[in-house]
Amino acid sequence: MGIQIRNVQKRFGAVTVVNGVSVDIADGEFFVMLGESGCGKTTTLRMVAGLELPTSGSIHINGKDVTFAEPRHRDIAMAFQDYGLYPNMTVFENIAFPLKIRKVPQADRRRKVEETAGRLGIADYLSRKPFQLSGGQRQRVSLARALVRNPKVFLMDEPLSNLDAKLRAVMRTEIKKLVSDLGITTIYVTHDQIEAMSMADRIAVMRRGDMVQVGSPLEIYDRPLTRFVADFMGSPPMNLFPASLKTPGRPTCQIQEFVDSIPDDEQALIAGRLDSTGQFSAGIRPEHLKLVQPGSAGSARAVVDFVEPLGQTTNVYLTAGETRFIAVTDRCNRQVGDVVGVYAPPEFVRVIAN
Amino acid sequence: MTDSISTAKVGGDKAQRAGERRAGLLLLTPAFVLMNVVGFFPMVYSLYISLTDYNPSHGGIARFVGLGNYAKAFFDLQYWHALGLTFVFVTLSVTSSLILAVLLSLLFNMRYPGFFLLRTIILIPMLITPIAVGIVWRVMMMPDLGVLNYILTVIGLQPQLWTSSSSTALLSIVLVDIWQWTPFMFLIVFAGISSLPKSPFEAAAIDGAGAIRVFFSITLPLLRPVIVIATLLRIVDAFRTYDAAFIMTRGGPDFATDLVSVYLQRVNFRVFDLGYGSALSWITLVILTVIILIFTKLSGFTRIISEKEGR
Repeated sequence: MGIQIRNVQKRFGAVTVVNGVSVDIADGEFFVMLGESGCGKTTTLRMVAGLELPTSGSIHINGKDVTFAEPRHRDIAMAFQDYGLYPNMTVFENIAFPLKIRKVPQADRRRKVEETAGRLGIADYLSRKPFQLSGGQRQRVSLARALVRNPKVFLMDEPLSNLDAKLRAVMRTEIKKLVSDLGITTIYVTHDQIEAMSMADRIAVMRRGDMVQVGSPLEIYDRPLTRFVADFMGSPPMNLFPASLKTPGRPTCQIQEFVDSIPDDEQALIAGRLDSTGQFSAGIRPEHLKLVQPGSAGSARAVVDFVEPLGQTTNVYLTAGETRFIAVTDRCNRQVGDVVGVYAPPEFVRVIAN
Repeated sequence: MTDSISTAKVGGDKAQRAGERRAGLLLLTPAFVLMNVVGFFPMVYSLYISLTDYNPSHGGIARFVGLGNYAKAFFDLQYWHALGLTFVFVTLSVTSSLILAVLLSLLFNMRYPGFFLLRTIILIPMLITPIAVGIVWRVMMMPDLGVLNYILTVIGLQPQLWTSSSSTALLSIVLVDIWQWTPFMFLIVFAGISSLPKSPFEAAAIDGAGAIRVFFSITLPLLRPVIVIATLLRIVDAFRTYDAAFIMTRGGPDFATDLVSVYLQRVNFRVFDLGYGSALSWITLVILTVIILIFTKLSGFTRIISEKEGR
């Protein structure tokens, strides 16, 4: 059950957009594909929807091979970035359209449309046309239209990216709650890591047609496999320091203090993550760095470059030698030019492939 | 001190603003003069002539006859016959070329390789001088020597009399009009189809709609503004069809293709009954305007425009 994507490739002429993606999505899972534009996430989604056909590979939905099936034979629903509403129809007609095609009797249709519209808070707008609605209302209509026929699978292509920040936060929660209440298997495409973190059961980070890392949001946040993932997740992103392993068991790093006491289990990962030149990156999240008295044990010396007070926390931009990095601290009154000690708790230092 | 300086500056700005306005008026003047000389004045003059019995071949003295010409037109069966023919002509031609244009647009929207060239080729009829079109089709439609009858006999059909029979003459010029002006409709409708948003169609595919339902529930309604505008332009244009039709049939046989334009030409420039001809022209203009108003009302044209602007 669920969705199985096997070795799916998509080429447009000489350009490979999706490069052999394989993933199993469990029944009822909320699966997010995250990546920059052009990474192949939308194309992968569209292949699951049947709007594009894979060059090779196969797609199964609920045990049925649908690789080349028509979209309408896949029992899926989809929400589009630009909503994809039928501009000529009223909200009611939009939501009722899939039911009408399935020849649902009129009374049933009305009941279902009203029920779904009520759940999404658009019951008052049923007689309006899409152009009379705000962006948030339009997206609700598109969700209602998708949900009204109880699909097995729900595909969403950046449904919130045309909304303003505040509305996006609200809709995020609503969508997540709605689909988990209904237990619909969902694939959600976004370039917004906060959306991915807050909504996903599992995230696949995509880059240049490949799924670079698949895992739970915290797994991906805490243990990114590559620089790309580390850099993509979190704002401000993870600090990454070039490091290498010249003598086994003694990694060296631009800021040596940070790698001196990496725990053994993390050290064991280094061998597998070295690139061809014997380099890797040592990563630590800004919020895990601690600012201490200069010269305290295990700390590196750094100068404060710039301070960004954000209210609850403060971003402190630091320079140690040639290396620049960021620490996120509680509210503090550091000044530009202050000399501080920076301490990286060893349990938070990560070994990351370049 | 500072006060007086800033006041002087304000005064200067004000003068400059006023100067800009005058420049605007000045720039409008040539167009204004031209419009009046070649547009407004002739219209008013023809309205005046329509109240006289002005006929240059009778010495050119215009006597005022009041609404006499209009009264005469009311009982002019030849005129009403011509108007009726024109109405049939416009309806048949515009409807058929609209349907053809939509079908062609759907076909070309599939964007198979080679369509680009074909698309350009089918625009050619629109580019040919209507007089040339008339001459070529008259030859092609000759019952004995014409290529059309040759083709008909080759594929085993009855040869036709085309423009030589009063029962087929009107349909013949309708056919030519469709041939010449479908490309124009196609151009507009195709541009409309190409610029439709993709996502409603993808949503429909996922919602499970088949091709026919997509066409009637989505494509056609979304194309409606474009279709309305194209049709409007074509109605006005078809109403004044003259050259090709006149070359092919000269209104005959037995007045079977005596369109309003052909009849008006005869009254105005054969017998030079300019007073009466002007009256007929004005009546035609009013009727055409009423037809257009009815069409815009029925087609929801104004609503379409306001919805577009509201978006």
